[in-house]
Amino acid sequence: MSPNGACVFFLVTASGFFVENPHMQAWCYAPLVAVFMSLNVQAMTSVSKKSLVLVLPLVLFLYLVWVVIVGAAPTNPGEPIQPTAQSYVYAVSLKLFAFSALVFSLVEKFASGGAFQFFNNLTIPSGLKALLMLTLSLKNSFSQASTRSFSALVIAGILTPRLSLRNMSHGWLLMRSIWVSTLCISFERLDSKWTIENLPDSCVQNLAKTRTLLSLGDLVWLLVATLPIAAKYLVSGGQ
Amino acid sequence: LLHSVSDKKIWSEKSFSKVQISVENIHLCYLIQKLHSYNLEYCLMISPVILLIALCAALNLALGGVVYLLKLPIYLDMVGSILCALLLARTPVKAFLAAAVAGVISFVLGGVFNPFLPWFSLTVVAVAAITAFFTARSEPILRTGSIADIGLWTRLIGYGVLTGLVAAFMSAPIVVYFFGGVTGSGSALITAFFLKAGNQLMNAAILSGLTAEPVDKTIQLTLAVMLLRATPNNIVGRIREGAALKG
Repeated sequence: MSPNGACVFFLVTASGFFVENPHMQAWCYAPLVAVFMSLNVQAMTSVSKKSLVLVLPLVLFLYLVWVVIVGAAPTNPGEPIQPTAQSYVYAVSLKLFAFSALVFSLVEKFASGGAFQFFNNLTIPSGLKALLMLTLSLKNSFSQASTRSFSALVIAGILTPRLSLRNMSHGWLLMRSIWVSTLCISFERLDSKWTIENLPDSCVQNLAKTRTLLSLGDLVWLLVATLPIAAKYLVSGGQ
Repeated sequence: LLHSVSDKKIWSEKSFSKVQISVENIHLCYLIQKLHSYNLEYCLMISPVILLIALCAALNLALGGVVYLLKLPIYLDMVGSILCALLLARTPVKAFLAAAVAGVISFVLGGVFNPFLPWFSLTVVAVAAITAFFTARSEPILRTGSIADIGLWTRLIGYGVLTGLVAAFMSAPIVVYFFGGVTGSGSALITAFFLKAGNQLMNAAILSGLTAEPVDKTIQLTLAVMLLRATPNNIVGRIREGAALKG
């Protein structure tokens, strides 16, 4: 599967997941995701674990809201029937788990090349490619700036290393420090580092390369992904 | 010069990296962009505005992710977009475009840890429009006004509530039609409360939005203004200089 195919496959499947009627989409797409995982991902256990870690708190939260507090499914709040609410939460949970598994499967499949390689191989305008890469790169800069600013403010005696009232009242200083630190570093890179490294030239050359739009394998997966939507359309008599 | 820059091939061979960051060269870049039918690739890497968009998208991602994981009944996932619009306040259309692009990019990339997020991209576009065309008019006061000034706080609350109302009406149909009233954010608790009180799903979603969004957007606007005030003048100047160029 090519990166272009992965994106289109993801968009079609994700649209199918989140269109109305949660029960039907859950039962249609969960097997599709399972087949996709078994054919494309080697570390299936790791992908399933990651999805479970992401979805489990959400499922508990949904259970608390719809079963414990409301006691009815959001589609029929007038009829407080707990089993309906439970089946609703299970269907939504299955859908979310399948969705997360699909996302992590795609991430795992293209993990060897990294996110930058993935974006570079997409058939999108080179400006958008560079913007996506720059965003991911700067997100890491924010994480590093957080550590630096936090350490600096702890050393200055403004914040404490553990949870405290002082941290609550001075948290805004940390946020300002992180922003100014990342901003200044980025603009400094723009002025000197990127120019010295010849980044604009190499980016223009690399990002402008033409890519294959969709391979035959991509088209097969797309056909499979559209089947549940087509089935739903046929079952509902074209409505 | 005009003949040589109009030929894309010649320009590529002339080692683009030698172009230094200066207003004159940004003008030259603009000229090339015009000549190549708005092809942005040559302008991309030296534009402070592009860097600002990426920075604000990354800020959205960093803040929104933390709040989602903590399950707070607020979102804080648009601070970067609001800040982007405020920093480009003098050119409203560009401010709107930049803030909307930053928002959509962060919402799409954020889908990896929050599967609900990408579907609310239209909401962030609406918030970008409100900030660029309305809130940004008061940018001089928001940026330089005294903290003791009551006008500053009145504006913050007024624009925050306005943005929140727009966001609530934009988000409610998405919550109902795409997710059947279920989202993973803390505001689902408020929706549940209104459903329990006997409201229909759509009404509950709108009421939940109207309760949580104005508070959330006022907090987000306050945070964005705080960061705007912290941004060094020379960097604000460079960003605005870049945005003021035609094209």
